[in-house]
Amino acid sequence: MFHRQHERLRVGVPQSLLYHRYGTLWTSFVEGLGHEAIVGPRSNMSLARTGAALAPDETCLPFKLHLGHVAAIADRCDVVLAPRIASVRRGEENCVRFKVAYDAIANLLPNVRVETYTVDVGERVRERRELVDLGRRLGAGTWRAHVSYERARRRQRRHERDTASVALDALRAPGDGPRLLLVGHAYNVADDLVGVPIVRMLTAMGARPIPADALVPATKRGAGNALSASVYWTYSRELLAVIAQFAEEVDGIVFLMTFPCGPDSLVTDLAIRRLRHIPTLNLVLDDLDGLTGLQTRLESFVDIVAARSRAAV
Amino acid sequence: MSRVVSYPHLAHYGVAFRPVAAMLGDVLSPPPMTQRTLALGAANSPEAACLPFKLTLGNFIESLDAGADLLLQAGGGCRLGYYGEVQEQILRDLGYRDFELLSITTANAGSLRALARTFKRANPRLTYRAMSRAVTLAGRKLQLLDDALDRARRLHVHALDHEGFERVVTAFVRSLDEAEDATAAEAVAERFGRELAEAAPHRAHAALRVGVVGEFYAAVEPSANHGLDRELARFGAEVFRPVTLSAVLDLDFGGPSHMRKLLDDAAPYLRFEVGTDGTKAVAYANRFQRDGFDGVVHVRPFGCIPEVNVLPAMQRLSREQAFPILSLSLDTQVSDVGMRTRVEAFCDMLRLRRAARASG
Repeated sequence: MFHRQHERLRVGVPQSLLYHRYGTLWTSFVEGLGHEAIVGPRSNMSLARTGAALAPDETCLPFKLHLGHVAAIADRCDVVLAPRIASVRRGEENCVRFKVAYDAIANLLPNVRVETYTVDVGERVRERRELVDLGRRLGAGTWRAHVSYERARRRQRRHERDTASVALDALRAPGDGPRLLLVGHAYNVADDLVGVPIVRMLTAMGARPIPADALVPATKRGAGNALSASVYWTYSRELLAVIAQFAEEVDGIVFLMTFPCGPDSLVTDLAIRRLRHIPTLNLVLDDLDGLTGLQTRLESFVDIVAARSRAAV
Repeated sequence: MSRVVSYPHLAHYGVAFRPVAAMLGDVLSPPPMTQRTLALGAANSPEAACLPFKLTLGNFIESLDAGADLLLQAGGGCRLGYYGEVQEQILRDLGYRDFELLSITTANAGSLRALARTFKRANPRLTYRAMSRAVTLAGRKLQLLDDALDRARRLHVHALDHEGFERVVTAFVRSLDEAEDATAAEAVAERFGRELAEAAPHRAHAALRVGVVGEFYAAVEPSANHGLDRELARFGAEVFRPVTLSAVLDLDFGGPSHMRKLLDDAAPYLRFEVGTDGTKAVAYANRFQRDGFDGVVHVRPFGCIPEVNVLPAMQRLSREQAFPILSLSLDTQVSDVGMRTRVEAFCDMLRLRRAARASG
């Protein structure tokens, strides 16, 4: 019919960095093209060590992990997907780290076949056109690439709405225990070695952590302007909007940042300076072995927040 | 009442900033960069902020203490474009009240017209005629300054006496700063050309040829890089530093063809643009390598994302072409002596390589 026959490829999709944001789009698109999407493992220590050994010293923790993820699936697939998501909205940008997604792998893991596409709305490089081109490079016809893209985009949207409604329910569910907004990039909050242990610790202490990034689809754009008018990183703007919109409904805010994060180094500092009416905790993770040291800091924060909300009642 | 305008230190570029700042009020040159500047900046900055953030914040604190009430900041690309809002909040939290921080970024100065509107808002009495005259003079001085100092960096190693040579350069910068119009500025530059030739006659001794690439602030500001250009010259290298304010502006206004050319030069080590000065660093380093230079120094502030982005490309370039690249990460802990030792060792190594090649 419409479909030209082409070789079925195993396309690797590492479960790191922006997978936690666009994973549904990517896997659905790859499968729509008739290829097999190989989703990598979740983070583990062995993969983290591989990534840290590959990366130059000053690389941020999530990117080190990402390199480990790529290395971990490279053997099992024909090609690894490494998108360059530079800017997704007019007048806004992403951290420039994402611009090197392709070249870092090409230079550090020269034996891995990498495919990429770029989204750079500021430079008029748009997702649809780029993904359709990628589809054709992977052997699909133009029509099929378009259809796969449309379907993948719908699924991605639905996935975001579903995640948001789960998070909203969690936020508004009745019950005891302080509600804490956990503010951090999706790839940190959802990572098994970074955010997941923190969520687990907080839950065990009786607190109710709500991931801020999941609430993004439920916020109004620009709601964060009160916290910072000039910030131009999309993901930071979104998180600030979540804070501005939901701060009233939580008892405290935990900022989770990985070292050295360019955008967070400034955005988090400014946000904490301007959030004077609510308790905040700023966690900076720079290596993965020291997580137990966080236990005491989290405990005392949860105690403070709980005491404060009891006093308010 | 007229406002008192100040701006952060940026090598000798005060020469070009002054006419622009003068459109907005009385100019207060920022107090000299000292250990205190760095200490003030570091103590009041977020810990993970980069070195340019800390040093420029230190400048602002000292300028405010000296009476400034309008601070100019500029930037874009990485996190630099966001400095303004954060620094302003920090200064207000420190208790400074009566000042304005004007951040010139792509958001309010993406075109010449937008830039003009921004200046007009800052000083409504400013006429377009005065603005055009000031910006033209600043542009001319900038060009003369960059061209002259570019030549000085290559000739410094040939100086008969280093202190004397440095005095000639300092005197030139001061005269250029004082020149009232383009004609006077051009005369100053011409005189400097002759003085350079006398102070550093090009001798046939085999000086090393070293390129300096990397992040803009780290490459140009001597208090950030501890006089890297001077140290290289003193340890025997002609210094070629394509990283200048003129070059940054050329690229910003040059459009996509500039970027394509850079990526051509950076091939095969980079295929895509990687942010701010990163792409340029690889392109220039690869150009120096092809032109037979002895080596390259790659400087960045600690944690600078665009420059860390290119480390894998730089390392591969160095490995595959057997081309020496000294990678310097600058933070508040680097000292003059530490820098000098590293530059000295690098230059020694380059000379040994030359000798080995000549005999081998």
